[in-house]
Amino acid sequence: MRKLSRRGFAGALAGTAVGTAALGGFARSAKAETRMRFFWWGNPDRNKRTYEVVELYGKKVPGVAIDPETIGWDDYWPKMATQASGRNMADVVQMDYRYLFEYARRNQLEPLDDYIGKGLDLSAFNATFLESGKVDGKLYAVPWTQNSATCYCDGTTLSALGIPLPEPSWTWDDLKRVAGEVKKAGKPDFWGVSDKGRWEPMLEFFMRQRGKALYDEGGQLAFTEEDVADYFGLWEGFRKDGLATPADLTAQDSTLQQMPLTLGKSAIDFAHSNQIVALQGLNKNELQMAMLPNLPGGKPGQYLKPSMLISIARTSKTKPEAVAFTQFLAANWDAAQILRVERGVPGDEKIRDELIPIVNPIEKKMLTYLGVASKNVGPLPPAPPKGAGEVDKMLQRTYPEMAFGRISVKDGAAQFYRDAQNILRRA
Amino acid sequence: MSTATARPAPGTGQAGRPADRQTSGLARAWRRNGAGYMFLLPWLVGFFGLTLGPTLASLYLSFTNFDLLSAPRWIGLENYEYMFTADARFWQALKVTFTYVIWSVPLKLMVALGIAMLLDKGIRGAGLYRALFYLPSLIGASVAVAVLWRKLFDRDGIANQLLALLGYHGEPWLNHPDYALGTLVILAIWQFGSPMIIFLAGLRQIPTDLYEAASMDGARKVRQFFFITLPLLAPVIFFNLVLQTIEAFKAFTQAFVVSGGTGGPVDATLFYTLYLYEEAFANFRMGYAAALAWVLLVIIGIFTAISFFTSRYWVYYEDQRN
Repeated sequence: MRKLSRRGFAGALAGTAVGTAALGGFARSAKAETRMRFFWWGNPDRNKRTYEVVELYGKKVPGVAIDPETIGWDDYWPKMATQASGRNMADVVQMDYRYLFEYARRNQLEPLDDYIGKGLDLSAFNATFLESGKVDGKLYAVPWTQNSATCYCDGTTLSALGIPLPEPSWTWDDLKRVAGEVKKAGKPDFWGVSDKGRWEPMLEFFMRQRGKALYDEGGQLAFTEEDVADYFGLWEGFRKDGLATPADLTAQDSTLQQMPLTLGKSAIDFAHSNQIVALQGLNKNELQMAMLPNLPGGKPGQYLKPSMLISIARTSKTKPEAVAFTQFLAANWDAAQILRVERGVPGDEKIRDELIPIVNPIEKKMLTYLGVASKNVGPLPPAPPKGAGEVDKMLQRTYPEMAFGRISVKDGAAQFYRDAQNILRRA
Repeated sequence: MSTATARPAPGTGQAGRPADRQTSGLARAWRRNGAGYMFLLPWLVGFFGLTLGPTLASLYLSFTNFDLLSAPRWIGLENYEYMFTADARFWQALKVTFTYVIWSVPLKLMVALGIAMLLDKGIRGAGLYRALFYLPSLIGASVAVAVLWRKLFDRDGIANQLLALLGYHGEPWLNHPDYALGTLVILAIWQFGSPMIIFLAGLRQIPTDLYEAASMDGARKVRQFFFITLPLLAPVIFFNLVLQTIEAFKAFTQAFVVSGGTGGPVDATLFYTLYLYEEAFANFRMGYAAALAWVLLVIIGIFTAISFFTSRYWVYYEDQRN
């Protein structure tokens, strides 16, 4: 045990010292440049583009190194909250409209108003759209891109069956008719429409078509139990007639890969407009974009939504650099040529106009679709209250109980309404 | 030790040695055990910093409302009150977890013991079989296995394709609330490797002359099993039972991957740990999740205590005399 001589020990110490010095030297050279982190939720295609942009920025702005971090949507918010809790948020973060208010009101985000004209130039943004990045009158996020919900049709299958694509003004009855025609064609293990009743935007559009909403300004439910019973009943009708996908397929429909449309199980499905890029990549058949079905004589249900926003952490130690990078992401032509419209249509209208002549056919579909949609949309609803995310999860949990026939639509509606109120009270 | 006193290294303290004689007991104890503690240090730091500290912190948090973004707010017993009086999903999670434990643990131990006895027979290539049977446990709770399970028991999975060959129409096993949990129990049973290895070691300890004497007296194999194998194996069975019960209560990965993190369909696979995770990291109710964790700790504690308490009636140790 004592065999180690003092000289040997000194030698070992010296060795460690050299090692430490070497490490120190390394740390110093790394410190010579500003390092910061950029965090986004993504998919493989988005990540590839974003890494490329980060690399381009490193080449354009020497002395600033960006550490990219990415993860899927489901894990993004737990990770972000954990980092925020540890005062270790990434400097620049991709933000969602749902979470913007929560993070801004809890002092996690840097207000950007003072940077306008000083590193941040948002002059090419539509003023109304820019409002969606504001909380209590202050700008906490740059609304990076825009999207809207979309009805995705398996164009190849529909045209093979001789069924025309839906018009923008089509109704729920038309959806029923189209799904019925698909059923009549008799393809085995294939349904007319995916049972997307548990998709929160669908519920929201249904309420908006009735002149209501999911939540009011005060963060309370803005519809009645009868409304939601009607909504669940509508989808039950689709299931009863064998038009919508069965419960087990619905139960596993959580990612683009698991969508019945992607699995080749249904002709009509629903997702967001920017997802055409990723979704078409997963589908062999050609996808076509359509508006969601309307209520005859009702109000427009859909709206244009900021699909992704950019925020800067209040704890960031490199705010001016973070602002410069935000500007680069949101409003630089070189970056836009790589990112294109995968996250949605850019909020910067100058960039958008420059992109129009160079887009590929898939991206063109999205631009055309948003052009059509923008003529048939209602106003942006107030930001969802705290607990809205949990209500969404609860909808996804309650819905299969009806789809599996465990509870009736009436009981399901009562349960959903009661649980939603409980969640909002507890949040 | 003797080397240092017999042949002091050059330059050892003229000042040092006389002073040593007068140092306190503490310093002497340090001299004697210091090196040991230094070697223990990494573990001690880990235990206090990463296990005990967070455990105590979670006890405190269980009495608070804490959403990660703002500071924890003391609310007393409210979390526990809500859990036991108003939270239907808490009871559902308990139901799922208990069902899982009650089915998977005994079945897994039976399969493990059965296979261990087969391998104990000294068949040719036993080593290879042992490795093969142990393999599922090695990759056991991993994500890959859960993904594999999805592929096997999916709507168009291999299990249903086999059933179709036999002329049956299979169910979407993992996506149906009636079958999802059962499928996970089967997954647990399949991972019988580690209790099997322990059983095998236990079986080897049983003296063969007992069996020889028994067969001389005309005892059949079944009788030998119940009157020799089981009693002598009791300590090993007990060990496996406690370990596997705790393991089963803590099951998480399989259900998380198979249900896409939701505990679905219709909360059929809402394991306790999964519900805890969801409350903490999806709904950001860290205080409530901490309370859930403490209730789980108490439940596991009670089960382990029951096992230990009853063990004196059915576990026989060879070295104890009455």
